[in-house]
Amino acid sequence: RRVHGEIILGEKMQASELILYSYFRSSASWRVRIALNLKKVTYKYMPIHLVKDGGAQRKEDYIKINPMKHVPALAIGDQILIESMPICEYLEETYPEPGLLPKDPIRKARVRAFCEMVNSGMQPLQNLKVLQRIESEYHGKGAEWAKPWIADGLRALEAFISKETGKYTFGDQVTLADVFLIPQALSAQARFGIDLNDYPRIAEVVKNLNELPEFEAAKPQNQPDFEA
Amino acid sequence: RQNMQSSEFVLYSSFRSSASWRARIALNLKRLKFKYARIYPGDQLKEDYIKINPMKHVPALVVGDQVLVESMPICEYLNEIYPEPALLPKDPIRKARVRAFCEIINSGMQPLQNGKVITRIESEYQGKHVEWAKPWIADGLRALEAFISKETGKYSFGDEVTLADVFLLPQASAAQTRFGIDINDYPRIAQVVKNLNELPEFDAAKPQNQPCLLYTSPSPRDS
Repeated sequence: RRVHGEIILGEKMQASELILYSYFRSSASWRVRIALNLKKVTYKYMPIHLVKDGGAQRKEDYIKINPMKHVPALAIGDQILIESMPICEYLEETYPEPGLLPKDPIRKARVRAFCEMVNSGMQPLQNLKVLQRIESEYHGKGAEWAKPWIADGLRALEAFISKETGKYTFGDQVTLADVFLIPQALSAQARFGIDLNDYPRIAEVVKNLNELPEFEAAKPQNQPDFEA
Repeated sequence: RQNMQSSEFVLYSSFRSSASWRARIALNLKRLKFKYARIYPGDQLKEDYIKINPMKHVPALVVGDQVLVESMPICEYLNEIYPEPALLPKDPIRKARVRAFCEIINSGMQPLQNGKVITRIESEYQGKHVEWAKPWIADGLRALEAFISKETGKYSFGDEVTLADVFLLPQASAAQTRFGIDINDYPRIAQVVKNLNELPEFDAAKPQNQPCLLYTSPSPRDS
């Protein structure tokens, strides 16, 4: 188990002023943790508890950091970046190795599209504030609401990469698609009772990604604010 | 149009979809001709279209024999292949902020108002689409207003149009026409929208100016 968010993963450590506002279970935070690990960038972990006490993300102090009241946020010196996709794109540009996006523009667009299918097509429909409202205002059950969206999204992701080969989503090199896939796939299993084996290529890719230390270190259970 | 570049682009678009609208604006700003492939409501659920986009969403952009999906990657692709006029700042931090503004809309707001979500709220949860969506949209606009509160200039991020504006206009329009939101509650947003509405590239992209107009009034099924 890591403490204080210090991820020691190899020789190429870069000191930085990065502070990551994160919740252990937030899949968007999880994506950024993976990306930071892959780029071997150290950061300070600032936990934002999304549930306790009405949610730290709803308090004035945090709204100043991110008016959307979401995690993650990445503080870089006196600048704040929000939204996991732009944060990952920034890391990709600022720390080019290892490259997480193909150079070919069409292929790059396809990797980004895979990320967006997760980022805008799936996760917003399962995030905490939506589930809370479905339950409180519409007397629904969060899992019943979310599961069909997640299943349909996984079906689409499986189809989108059905002609790809290699260990990971788009070949034998890890890309941002993998960074976005793991939190979505693992939360689909853990929280919504989805069987990933219904999506064979996805399942195989997830199995391969789970062997990588950068992905392991980013998991909720390895975060300083983890609660069982 | 002046200076149009011919291209092999085919845009699958629904006139009512705000994500399609973004792609139309971007193509216009880059002066790119494109063929308009009409997707009528429901067409996106058919087998032929699922082969084009397994997410069953519009837009999709056909480039030769390749298909691009998702409005944000489509816009990024257009910006890379046709660098002028530039739609993203060069400074990495500023670029990240413009992208974040887009994502607040792309992933933080629009998915909660799109047709399939509204349909389910109404049919399965006996909800009303305005009651469901309006708080999300209002809260998002509040966040966008705060996010650009220190910016100056005609548009979202200064005096040059960026992708932030491409994403803003369709969202602001939906907020007003479908959800009864008064944009003037968000003064900087309202001023930017007013300025954008004067640009021909934005005007040409509006739903009422598209070739597959079926209805003249907004519908809950609009995205």
